[in-house]
Amino acid sequence: MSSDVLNILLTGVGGQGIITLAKVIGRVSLNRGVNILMAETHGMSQRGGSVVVHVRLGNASYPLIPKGLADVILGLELIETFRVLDYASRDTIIIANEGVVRPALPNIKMPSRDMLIRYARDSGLNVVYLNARELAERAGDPITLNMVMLGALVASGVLPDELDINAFKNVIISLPMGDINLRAFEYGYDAFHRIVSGDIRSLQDALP
Amino acid sequence: MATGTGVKRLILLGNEAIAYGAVEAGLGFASAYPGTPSTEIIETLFRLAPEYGFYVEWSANEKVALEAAYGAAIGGLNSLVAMKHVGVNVAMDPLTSSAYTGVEGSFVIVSADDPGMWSSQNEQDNRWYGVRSYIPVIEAGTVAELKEVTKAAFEVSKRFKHPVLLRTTTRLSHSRCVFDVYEPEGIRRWGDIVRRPEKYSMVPSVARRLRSEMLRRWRDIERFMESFRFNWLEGDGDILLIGVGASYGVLKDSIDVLGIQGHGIRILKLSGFIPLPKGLLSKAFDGVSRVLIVEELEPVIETLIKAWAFDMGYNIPIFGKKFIPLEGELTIERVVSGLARFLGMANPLIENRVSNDVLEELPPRPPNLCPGCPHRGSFYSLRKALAKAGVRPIYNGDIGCYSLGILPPYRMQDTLVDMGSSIGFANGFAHILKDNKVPVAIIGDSTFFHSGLPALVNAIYNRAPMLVVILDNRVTAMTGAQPHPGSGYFQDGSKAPRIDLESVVKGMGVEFVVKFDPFNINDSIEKLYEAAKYVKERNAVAVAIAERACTLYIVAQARRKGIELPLYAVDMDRCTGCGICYNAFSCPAILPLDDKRAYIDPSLCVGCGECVYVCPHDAFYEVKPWSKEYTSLW
Repeated sequence: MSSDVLNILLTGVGGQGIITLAKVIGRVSLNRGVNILMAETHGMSQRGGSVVVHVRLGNASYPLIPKGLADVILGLELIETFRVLDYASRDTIIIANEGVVRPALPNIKMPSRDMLIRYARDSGLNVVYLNARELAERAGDPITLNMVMLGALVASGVLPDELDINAFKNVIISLPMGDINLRAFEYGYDAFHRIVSGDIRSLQDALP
Repeated sequence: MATGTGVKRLILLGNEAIAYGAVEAGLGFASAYPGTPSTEIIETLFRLAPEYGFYVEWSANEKVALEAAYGAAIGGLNSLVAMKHVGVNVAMDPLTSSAYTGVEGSFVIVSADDPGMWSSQNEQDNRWYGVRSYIPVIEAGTVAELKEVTKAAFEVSKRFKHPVLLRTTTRLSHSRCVFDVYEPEGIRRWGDIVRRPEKYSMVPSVARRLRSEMLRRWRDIERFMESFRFNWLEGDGDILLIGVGASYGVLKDSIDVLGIQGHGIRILKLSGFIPLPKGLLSKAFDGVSRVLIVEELEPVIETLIKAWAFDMGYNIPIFGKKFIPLEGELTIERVVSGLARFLGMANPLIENRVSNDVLEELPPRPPNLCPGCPHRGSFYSLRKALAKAGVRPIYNGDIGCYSLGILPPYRMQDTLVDMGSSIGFANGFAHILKDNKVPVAIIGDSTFFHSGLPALVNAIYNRAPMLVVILDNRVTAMTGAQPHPGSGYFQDGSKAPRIDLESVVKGMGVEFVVKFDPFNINDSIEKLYEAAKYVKERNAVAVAIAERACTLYIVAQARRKGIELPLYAVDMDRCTGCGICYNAFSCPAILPLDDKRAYIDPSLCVGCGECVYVCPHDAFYEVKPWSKEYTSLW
């Protein structure tokens, strides 16, 4: 792939605000003159199904990220994060909310969180886990979980220089409930730094 | 990108870009029946209509929508009709003849195809329709091109006074990028007809003459498309790669992945490919030794090009579907794989991947009926009622959210094929079933108006005993709550004539009609039981109408207006952990705890209260009651 394309895969469950999150990235890119191409893949996402949004920054012609070539995976739900591992390589930065949403199907077997985290560790994947729900609640509304995750994405430093933290803050403050959303974004931003610096123990290290 | 006066730079969804393109082309009339992935085109036009003054409507079905836009184009306007690919099947009759008559203004038919079947019953390739109907087919090569290609479709149509099929796909329609938007030069809102029955009234003598005229026009269009500005050649070499429509974008990025740009590769980009631009093809074929046609789905262009190349006497290998998949959506990795094989290269994407055997451990997450969806109550009550009446049902489902009734625990969609097929199929089963087996047709309100009406007329006339359950949630819910003839309001919320389902059905001659509220499970079971008994004993049609608005839509309104939702909770002392609520009823807001007792997630509960009826242990109770404001929304 042309090295000037940055591939970001957003994943989660319908209703978590992934489309809004993608629109913020779009808005910021528009404001800062960065080329962006985004694809929403969902059958009927409003009805609780999986949602994946492909975001390609730079000179891409086709909106879907090739499997194995995601630079970043931002997962708003843990099962959905693991569902898109096809897109990852060992170079991919994976930022995952550790929360799990149970699919509304009768008699399903849920995977254990420890199993998933151990699997990622043993596969040599580069994952940073966040408790985004708790941070969102602390910000004032669990619905701002998407902004917590966006904060972590910006903190990871993978985005082009033009898309700096202030560019995001300016757009987020203009959203409905802008102040709560902005707080959530900042909590996510700080949490990412504190996890990476070892200030908060990451789930991976907490494994038995 | 070019800048000019009145230019705005916006980030737009592909479908929004198509709408803006139509407006810039001077749109006067637009119509559609909603269908994924086409819906946002007309939704956007509804948003823009007050500013620019063109007419726009949701029509009752695709055939009517196409006829309306076709009529407006005969009346001299620039008109557009949009539909999903299978909607075009519904509209094929007038579509076919529109190429015979042509129009006075311009007429663009948008077909939104769904490769990969993200939200459809098939992945038919509507480019064939252009081939068999003598209608030019135009498709953008990239998302960024959508707006200008839409304008070009209007230009071609206007120039030849001939319909044009603008094809888009889920991927083009549902992607976003940056567009520069301009003001239209002028919009014609009012039209008229110059009486010319010899042109617009297709009796056989007229039709025979028009067919010859159409074929002559087709040759002119063919000549014009030679120089269509969205077709071009790139690079040079003795290997020719042809990117057809949106497959051009995939091809470009795949060439990037392989790092072969500038290495003896010539690319032909085709956005206007039906009719084939033969002169440009001759140029593209000049001096090449091998050809690969990259196109999604069917070998439409491959077939046409191979026939053309045979006539021209080319004796070189031409490949398409041998290397490019026939099934499903094209992706960069699938095209890279085909290209690498065609070129005899290694595929660089293979070694990069990490193992994904964890996939087997992950539970599926299909879309589901929302928390508080009235359809859940209808399915639950219907099953109980039929069992009570001693009826053995054949469930004929239909297109809509209630298609999700196919999922466990309900599994109440034995057949489900196309819009209106519930009553249609029941017309067949009704005459062949014995032993208390009864066809049940489950159909939504919008789908009923779309194509349930003639099927029900048929059932009454031919004395086909069946239970028809119309799930009236007031909107076309599946595609995002668009209003329909039974809603009582237009897209902008203003008051519209409301066609009353009960009166329609009674007027047709159905003697047993009953209405029920699916939130009241006990009463629903009683009413549906009466209806089932009537069908069984009287061997006639009974209609039951479930009346409850789409919850998703009501809850969105409540949130917008800051109205607090009611809430239910579980009394842990009463809950026995039987699992009826989360397994047999399967409300997504009710979750099992580790000890199997139930728990209501307050962020998901919308307070429908159906769980109260479902629980045999009276474990659910109201925490926050229905406020007057919330009640009034329903």
